[in-house]
Amino acid sequence: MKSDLSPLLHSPEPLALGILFLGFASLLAFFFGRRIPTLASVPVLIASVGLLVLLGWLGYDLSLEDQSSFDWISGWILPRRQGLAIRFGMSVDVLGVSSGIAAATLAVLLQVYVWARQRWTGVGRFASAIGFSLMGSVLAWSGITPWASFLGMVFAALGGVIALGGHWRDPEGAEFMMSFGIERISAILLAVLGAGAITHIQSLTPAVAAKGLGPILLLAGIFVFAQPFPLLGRLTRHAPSGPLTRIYIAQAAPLWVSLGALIRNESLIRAAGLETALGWIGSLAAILAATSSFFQNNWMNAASLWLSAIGMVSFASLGFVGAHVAVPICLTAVTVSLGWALLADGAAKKVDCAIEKSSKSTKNGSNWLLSVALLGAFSSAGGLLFASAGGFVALYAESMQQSPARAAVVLLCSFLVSACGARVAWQLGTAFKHESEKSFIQGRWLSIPVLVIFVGFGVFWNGTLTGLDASIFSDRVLGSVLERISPNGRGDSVNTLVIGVHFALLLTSILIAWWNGASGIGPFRKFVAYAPRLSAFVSGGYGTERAFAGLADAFRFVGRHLQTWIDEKFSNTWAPYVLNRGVQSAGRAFGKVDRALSNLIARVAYALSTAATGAVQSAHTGNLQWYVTFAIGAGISLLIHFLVSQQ
Amino acid sequence: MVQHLITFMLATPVLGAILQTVIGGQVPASSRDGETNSPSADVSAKPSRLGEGSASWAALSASLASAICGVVLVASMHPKVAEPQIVESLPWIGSYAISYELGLDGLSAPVVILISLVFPLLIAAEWTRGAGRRGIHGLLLILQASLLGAVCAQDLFLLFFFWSMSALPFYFLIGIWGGADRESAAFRSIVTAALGNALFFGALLVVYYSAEPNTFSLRLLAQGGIRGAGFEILGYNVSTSDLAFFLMTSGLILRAPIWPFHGWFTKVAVEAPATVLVASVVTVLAVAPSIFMRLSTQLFPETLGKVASAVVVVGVVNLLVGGVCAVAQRGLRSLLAFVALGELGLLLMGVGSLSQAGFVGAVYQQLVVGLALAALGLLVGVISERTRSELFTADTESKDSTLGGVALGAPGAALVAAIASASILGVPGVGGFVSHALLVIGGYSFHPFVVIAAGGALLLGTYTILNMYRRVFLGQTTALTAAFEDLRPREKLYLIPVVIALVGFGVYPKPLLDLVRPTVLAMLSSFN
Repeated sequence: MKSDLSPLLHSPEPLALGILFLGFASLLAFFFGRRIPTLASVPVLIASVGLLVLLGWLGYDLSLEDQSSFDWISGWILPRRQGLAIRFGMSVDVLGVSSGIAAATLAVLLQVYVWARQRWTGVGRFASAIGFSLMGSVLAWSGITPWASFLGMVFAALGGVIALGGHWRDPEGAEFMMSFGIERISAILLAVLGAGAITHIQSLTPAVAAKGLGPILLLAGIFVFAQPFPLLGRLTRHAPSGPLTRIYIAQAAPLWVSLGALIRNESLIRAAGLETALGWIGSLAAILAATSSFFQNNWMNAASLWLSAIGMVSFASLGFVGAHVAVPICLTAVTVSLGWALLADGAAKKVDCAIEKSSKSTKNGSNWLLSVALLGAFSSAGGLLFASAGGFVALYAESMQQSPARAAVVLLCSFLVSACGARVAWQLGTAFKHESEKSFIQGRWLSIPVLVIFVGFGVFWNGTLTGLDASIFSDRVLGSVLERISPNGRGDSVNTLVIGVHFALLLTSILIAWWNGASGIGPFRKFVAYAPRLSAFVSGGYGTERAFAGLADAFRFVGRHLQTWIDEKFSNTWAPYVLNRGVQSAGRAFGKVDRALSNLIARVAYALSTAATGAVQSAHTGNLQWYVTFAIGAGISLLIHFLVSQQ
Repeated sequence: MVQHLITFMLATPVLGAILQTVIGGQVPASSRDGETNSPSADVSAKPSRLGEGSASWAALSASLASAICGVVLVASMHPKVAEPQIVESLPWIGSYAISYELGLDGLSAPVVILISLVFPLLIAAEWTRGAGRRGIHGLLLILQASLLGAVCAQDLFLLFFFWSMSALPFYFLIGIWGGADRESAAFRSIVTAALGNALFFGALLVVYYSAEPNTFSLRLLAQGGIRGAGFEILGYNVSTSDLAFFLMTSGLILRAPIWPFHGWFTKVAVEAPATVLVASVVTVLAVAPSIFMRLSTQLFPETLGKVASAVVVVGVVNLLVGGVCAVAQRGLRSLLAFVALGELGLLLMGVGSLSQAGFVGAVYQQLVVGLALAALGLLVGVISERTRSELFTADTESKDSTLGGVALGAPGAALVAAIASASILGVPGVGGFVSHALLVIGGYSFHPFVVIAAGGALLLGTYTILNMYRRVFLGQTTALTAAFEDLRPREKLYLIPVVIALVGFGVYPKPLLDLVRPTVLAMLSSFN
């Protein structure tokens, strides 16, 4: 039965309005968050809930309609039908709606937790950060043009900057925030360059898929936005930000956004034949990030690196297999990261009034925290009943069918990721052992919704238990693992070997993590003591930050010398000197010529006038008078004689 | 009535400049000091406070009136029309076919908006200047009129008239109100401008005498007045178009910061007051390229087609050098100067690509980057006025001579700087993204290497600008910034409109692009 509001829901306005309202609420929270922190965060919560309801309604409407999606494209820069137009497009489809609901659900839960924390003056700004991150998620997963995805990336970056900006007064916090900003904006600019190149090629030949530089830059930009190697250096630094900011807003949310942007532009990537490269690069990045995570002593650093690693596994699986594998892996990782961040934040909060606890209850408190954290690690690695299980199983199966080398790399990545995830969970559980003694009540009560989150996605979201197909929670995106392993179930059957390999890996990785972390012994610690420099190199993010700093210094060196030679020496010294000397020399030369000419003229004039005056003067002297008179007289005589003789 | 508005737009600042010099009485120093009968009292007249205030309001009113005219003119333009609109034409020096002809088209509309938005802000920014406020206001008003005239002129002689008139105010503005080395900066500025103007005048004469019939009208010259004409020098055939283009370009290069002839600009950036720096940026980043685009496409299309690659190369070199040199800067003003150098290079890249996207991007770049640099320049003025420093990195680790933690006391300033920086970097959602995206698309049509170079420069620029932001606004305060307060209401009043404009032009560029595109397409029609 179609809804009466179907025509309205089939247009872009409702979703656009929902996003705009969320943006407006986030702006209000940003500007007024300091003065009225709690009140300023309320509109963001209302807008997030409203967006969640709207997305659910859109999903419900989609399930009733025969059409699989409703698309809308408009020209943003230049008219839409122009070849060179930069178009903004959105789609209401299962992928966008599902991912939007997931992101909105997590955002609402986080806001409820943050809002419930008393006496926190930063709640307004943090709500603003959550709002912008959610905007970014919805835009990136709903956008069907690269430019819409970039806008999503911008809002996700903005959310991260606002959240990290809570500690900007601290020099370390300021450095951390700026590094985050530089990395994210650089990624966006790279992607914009790529999209620009693609737009140019497709304006000339619309039917031809772009190849060459454009897709490479686009892929590079979106990939870098997810914080892979070599951008691990920042993740190993100390920063004053808490886990909710550092792990969820500043890392998990951008990771989710970048996966959305990549999936929406997957056709461009595949047309350029870059999917295999994405797979291999993602795998390598995952291995490097996971390895570095093992060397971290601080659980937040380890968690950040784990999140980068598992994000890269999802990217690799997108390249090797497809979105139906990548999405569950990434979604579970993002969810687990939120759960861990909530647990850590709750455990770290000191309650005002000390609560007398027996040693037994204290021990139960810390065990409870550790158990929930480990459950998160288990779910992220594809434990049974959780969303990522289907993803990992499908990844192994299809990789094995493609090539042994690919399968081996994929298995190695998954093993490392699950091992370091378990280690992170162990570190988290033990890091707050003493804190949780005081905040036991908060920890336990907080763990309940976190458990619901961990389980919920697995049980309800992928229809593992419900097996629903027609309800709004039916899962056409995230496949049910039970369907996969049951030969009588719906969906594809999966080789039992693959399932066995998966769980063997899972158990082995957890054992190794325990051996490394919890038992107090282990070859890993011995290795760290044996090779401290190598350990420091790996734990510091493979020296990439130093390399980038060296590169910046090299540019600074070149720039300084360029300015010295061109600005100071050429423009300020040589050029004025040469021009000055030239002008003065020309002036002196002309002056010399002028003087010489004047002297010559003067000499000639003097000579002529001297001769004339001399002649005239001579005529006035006595001797000359007689000679002249005699000459004149002789002349006259001769003339008279001549005239007379002629007659 | 509307076409007369264009003359009103030009005349109002000039009239305002004259009016504000005479408005408000002057009182003898003796009555002000109370020493009425002292024979040694200084009896020279000094301006009263009331008079200074009235003069300032007169100056601001004149500038605002001109700005409102400019905005109304642009708003009344019809989209999808390529030819100059709102044309006002009067014969001026008939014997030489010189006419007073002004018009507005898609190429000049964004620059008119930029000048209209920026110059009233500059007047307002100089509100609290003590001695010589009238002088600086008057010179800024004359500058506003001359730049508007240069952009709107449809007669080549008239264009030169206004363009050369714009050089002189800078000499006085820098030489009187500048920093420690102001005389050198002012002298360098005027000498370079004079040389540039001389070369430009040479081009003007070549064009005039080559046209049949002799005329300065751009419309008639564009219809084929000088194409094909040539002459012989030392046995070589020299096209008139090539010679005139060379002279014109050389003249404009000397007035714009084209590497390596940009030394005067970086000197001016360091020595001039902040408002003069902003005015200089508007001149070099918006007006000079606008003149180049107009004249080269209308008068010298064949020559431009031949040297387009060179224009792109010059642009790329400017972009890279600007980016690399900006990294090495320690002061805010010199950083802004090199950022402007780089952005001009990006603009030239778009012009040289001879593509629709590149040209439209170049025109839009003039507006949005001009606004962003204006906002940053004015903020630099606020900061250096209050702290007497503009260093954000020092040679030594001494924190006392550098800025830091400004956002603690001035979150408003930090927000303005963030949005302006985002626009310069081309972050989606603000004005700079529109121009950068179009320039990249246009540049790719020329050669993929251009995109790589642009990408490298943009990444370097990202690091530079955000590093500057971190050092100036974030972290702990220093001795200089411990008592730094947020923007005052007057400062907010003139910075907030710029920020709103930057976001507005980034989110909804369609109205302006609809004005620009037809003119650009008409200009490029001879290249297709």
